[in-house]
Amino acid sequence: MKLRAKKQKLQLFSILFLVVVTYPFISVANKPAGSTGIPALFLYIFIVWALGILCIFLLADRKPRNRDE
Amino acid sequence: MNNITVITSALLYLGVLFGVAYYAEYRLKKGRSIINNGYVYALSLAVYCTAWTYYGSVGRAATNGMEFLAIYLGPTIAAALFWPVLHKIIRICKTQRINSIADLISTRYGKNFSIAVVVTVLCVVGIIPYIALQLKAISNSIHTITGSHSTAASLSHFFQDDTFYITLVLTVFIILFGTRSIDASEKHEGLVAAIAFESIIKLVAFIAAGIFVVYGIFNGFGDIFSKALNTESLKGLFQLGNKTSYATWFGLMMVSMLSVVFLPRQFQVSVVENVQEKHLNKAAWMFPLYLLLINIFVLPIALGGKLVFGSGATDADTYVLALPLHFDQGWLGLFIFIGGFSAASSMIIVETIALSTMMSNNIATPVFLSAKKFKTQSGETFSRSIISIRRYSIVLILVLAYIYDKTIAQYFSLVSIGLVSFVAVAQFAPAVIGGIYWKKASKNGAMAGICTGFVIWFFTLVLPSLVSANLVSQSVMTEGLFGISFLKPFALFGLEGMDSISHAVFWTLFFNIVVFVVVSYNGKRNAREVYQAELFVDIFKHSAVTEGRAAWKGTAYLPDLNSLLENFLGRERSQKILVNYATRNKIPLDTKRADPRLVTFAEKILSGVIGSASARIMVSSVTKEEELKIDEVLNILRESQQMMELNKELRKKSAELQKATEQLTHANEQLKDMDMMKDEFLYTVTHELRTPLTSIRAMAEIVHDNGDMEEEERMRFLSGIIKETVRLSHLITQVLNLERYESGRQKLNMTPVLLNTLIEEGIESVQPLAQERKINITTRIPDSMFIVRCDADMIQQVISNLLSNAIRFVEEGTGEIKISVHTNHDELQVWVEDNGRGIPAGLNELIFDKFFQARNQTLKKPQGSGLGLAICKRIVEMHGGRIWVESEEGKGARFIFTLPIT
Repeated sequence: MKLRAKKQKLQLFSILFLVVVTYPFISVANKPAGSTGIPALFLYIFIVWALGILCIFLLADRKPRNRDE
Repeated sequence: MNNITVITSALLYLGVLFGVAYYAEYRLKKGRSIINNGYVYALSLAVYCTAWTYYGSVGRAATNGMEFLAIYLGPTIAAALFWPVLHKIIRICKTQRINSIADLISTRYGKNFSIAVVVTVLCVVGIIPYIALQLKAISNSIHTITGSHSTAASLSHFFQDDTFYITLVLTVFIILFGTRSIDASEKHEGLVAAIAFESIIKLVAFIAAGIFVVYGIFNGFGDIFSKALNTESLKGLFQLGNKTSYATWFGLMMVSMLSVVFLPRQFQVSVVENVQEKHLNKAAWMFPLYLLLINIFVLPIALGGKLVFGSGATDADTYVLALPLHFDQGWLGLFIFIGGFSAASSMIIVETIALSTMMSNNIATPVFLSAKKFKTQSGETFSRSIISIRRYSIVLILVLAYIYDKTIAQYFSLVSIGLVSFVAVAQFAPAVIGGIYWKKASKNGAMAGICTGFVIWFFTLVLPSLVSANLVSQSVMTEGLFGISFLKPFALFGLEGMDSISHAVFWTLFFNIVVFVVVSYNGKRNAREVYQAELFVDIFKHSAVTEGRAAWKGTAYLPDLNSLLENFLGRERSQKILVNYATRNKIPLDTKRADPRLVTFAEKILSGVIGSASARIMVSSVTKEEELKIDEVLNILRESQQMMELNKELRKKSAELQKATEQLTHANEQLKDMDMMKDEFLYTVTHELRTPLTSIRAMAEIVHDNGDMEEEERMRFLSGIIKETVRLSHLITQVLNLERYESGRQKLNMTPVLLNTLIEEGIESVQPLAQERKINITTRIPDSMFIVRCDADMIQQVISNLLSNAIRFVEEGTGEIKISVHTNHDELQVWVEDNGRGIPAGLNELIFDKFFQARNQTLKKPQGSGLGLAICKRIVEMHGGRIWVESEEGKGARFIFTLPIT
C-alpha cells in the first residue's frame, strides 16, 4: 500500500535525522570556533536542518501524491 | 515610547485580529472557507512559537549558546516521525468526535471519567504557568518599550497594570470566538484564521528585528560572528559542551518532540481544528521550515545584544526589543513589540480554549449535571448553561495565570517556565501512543503511568520552583525530602550531572512507561475498554463501518433519548440529526423502544458537546444499560469484521458475475450470428446444387424418353450431363474445402517455395481458358528471387482462382490481365490486375463472402461457384496474410494478396 510505504519512509528518515543532529554525529562540527567566519556548528545545524526539511517535503508532499485512501 | 501609544497599538492590533476572525467566519457562511487549505493549517501549527521563542530563545542563547535549537529540531523530527501517529489520531478524533487530549485518553480507556479528570488537572497545573509566562513576556515588553523601570505592579494593584487590561481584552476575544457553538468538536474557523495571521506577523517582525541587528547595527553575519569570536566571554556560545552536555541536547529534543504533539494548544490546532487529513502533507515540511526561519537570527541577536550591552543591566530576554530601541528605532521597536504580542496572544488564545474545553467537559459539566435535575430544564437554557460554564472556565484560567504571573513567575526566565510545562504534557505520550498502537494498554496502566509521571514531575521540577519562591524550605534541595539524600529534586536516586530538565524528562518518562506497561500487562480490562481499544488501534479498518454498529445492550426509550439530545442541542437540531441518522441506517423511529444503534449515536453526538465521559454518564442516566461481557463485545467486533469482509467479497463476486454476464451475452450473439450464417449457407448451397442437378435430370429424361434419338444428338446430351456433373462435383469439392479450412482441420504443409514458380504454374493452369477467350496474360516480376514459406498447392490455388476470376470478368478479345509482385516492408504483395468491368463501390469487402454472387441475384450472373474468393481469403488468412481489392466501376479491378516474408 502506498500510504504505508510513505509512513515507513518518513519514520525511517526521522531516525536518520535524529542521528545526524545528536551525539556522536554532531561532535564532528562541535569544534572550538576559529576567529573569523561563520562558526562550524551554526552552519552545520542550519544546513542539515534545511536538507531535512527538503527531504520531508519530498517524502510527504511531492506530487503526484496519493489521493486520500 | 509613550505608554498610551503602546497600549493603543496593542489594542488596535487586537482589533485587527477581531476583523480577521470575523472575516473568516463571514467567508465560511458564504461557503468559501479560508482555513480549508494546507498553508493555513501549517501556519496555525506555528502557534508552537510563543513569546518564549520570540523573547526567551534570545535570552537562552545569550547564556547557553546553541542549546535553544534543540527545542526546534525536535519538532522537525516529530513532523516526520509522528506524521503517521497524527494521521491516526486525527482519524480517530473525527470518527469519535473527540475534542481534547483529555477526551482522547478517556475515550480510549473505556470512556473513563476519572482518567479524564486526572489528565485535565495535570494539564491545568502544567500549563497555567506557561500562560503566565506569556503574560509576563507581554508586561516585560511593555516595560522595555516604554522605558519604565518599575518592576511589575504587585497583585494588589492590578488595576494600575497594563497587562491586566490586555488580559481582559484577550478574555473577551476568546469568549467571543471560542464559545460560539456548544459543539466543542466543531471548528473555530475565525480563531484559526486569526492564529495563522498572528503566525505571519510574528515571523515577519522577528526577521525584521534580525535583519536590523545583523545588517543595521553590524555588517552582516560574518561581522557579528567575528566580533563575538574575539570576545572571550562569548566564544563558548558557538559550541555545545560548556553549559550544555550532549545529554541535555538530546533530552531537550525528546521533550520538544513530544510536546509538539501533546501540548493542549498543539492538539487543538493540529487535531481538533484539522479540516482535511491531507493538510498534514503540507504542514509536515512547512511547519519545520517556519521554525528554521524564525531561528536563523536568534543567535546573532543574542550576540549583538551581548556586544552592545555587555553584561549590563539589560535582561537578555528583551534584546530583540531593546536593541532597536537603543538605536532609536522607535517605530521598528513598536512593530517588534506587536510581533511579540502576537506570539504571546496566539498562545494564550488557543491554550485557553483547549484548557477550558477540558475543564468544562471533564470537571465542571459533570458536577453541574449531577447537581441539577436536568430533566426538568428546557433545552435552551441547558445549552446556554454549558456555554456559560465554558466561559467561566476561560475567565478562571486567565485569572489563575495572571495571579501566577504576578507572584511566582517573576523569579524565573521565560524558557525555564516553558520547559516545565513541556515535561508535564510529555507524560501523556505513553498513554496516547500506547493506546493507539497497543490493544493491551489498559485504563489502570494509563492511569498509573500518568500519575507516577505527574508525581515525579512535581517533585523534580515544581518543588524546586516553590523553593526558589521561598514557599518551601531550602533544605529539600540540599538534603533531600525528609532528609533522605536519594530524594533530592535535582539528583533523584543519586542521578547527578544532568541539568534539571533532562533529569526530569528521564525519570518521569522512565517510570511512566515502566508502570504503564507493567500494570497494563497485569490487569483485567472491562468490556468497554476492549471495545474502544479495538476501535482505536484498528481505526483504519473500522472507520468505514463504525457508524451503523452498536456496542450497547439494555433498554432505552426513544422519548428519553430525544429529550436528552434536545436538552443540549435544541429541539430542531436534535430532531434533524436523529432523523437523518435513522433514515441513513434504516432504523424505524415510530417505536417506543430505541434501537441500540440510536443509543450509541446519541452518545457520540453528546461526546462532541460535553466530552465522551460526561456523555456516557448522561446517556446511562436515561437508559437501563446491561453490562456487556467481554465475549459479547468481541462478538460484535468480529461480526462487523466479518460483515466488512463479506461485503468486500460480495462486491468482488458481483463484479465477476457482471463480467461473466457480459462475456456470455457476447458469446450468445456470436452463436446467433453463426447460426444464421449456417442457415444461409445451407440455403445457398442447396440452391446452387439444384441448378446443375435440374439440368442433368432434364437432359437425362430427354435421352430416356426419346429412344429413337439420333446418335449424334444423344451424345450431345450425354456430354452435357457429364459437364454438369463435373461442375456439381467441383462445387461440392469447393464446399468441402471451405468447410475444412474454416473448421481448422486443414493442416498447412509449409515449405519454402519460389513465388515466381508458383505464379508461372498458376498461369499455366488457366492458359487454355485464356486462349479460348483470346485474353493476354502478362507478368511483371522483379529479377530477384522471392522465396516464401507456404503451402504451395494452396497458394497456387489462390493464384489460379484470382486469374480465372479475372478471365471471366474481362471482355473477350480485348481483355488484358497483368500479374506482378511487389515488396512492402515485411510482406510480399501479389497483384492481379484486369481491365474488366470492375466492382461497384461498397462491394469491395462483400465479394469475399461465401456465395456473394448467389445471394445478389440482381447482378449480372457470371459463371462460377461463388466460393472462389471466399476460399482465397481463407487460405491467405491461414498464411497470416491479407487479401483485398482496389477497384473503380468500369475501370477494371486489382486484387492484391500478401504473404509475410519469413
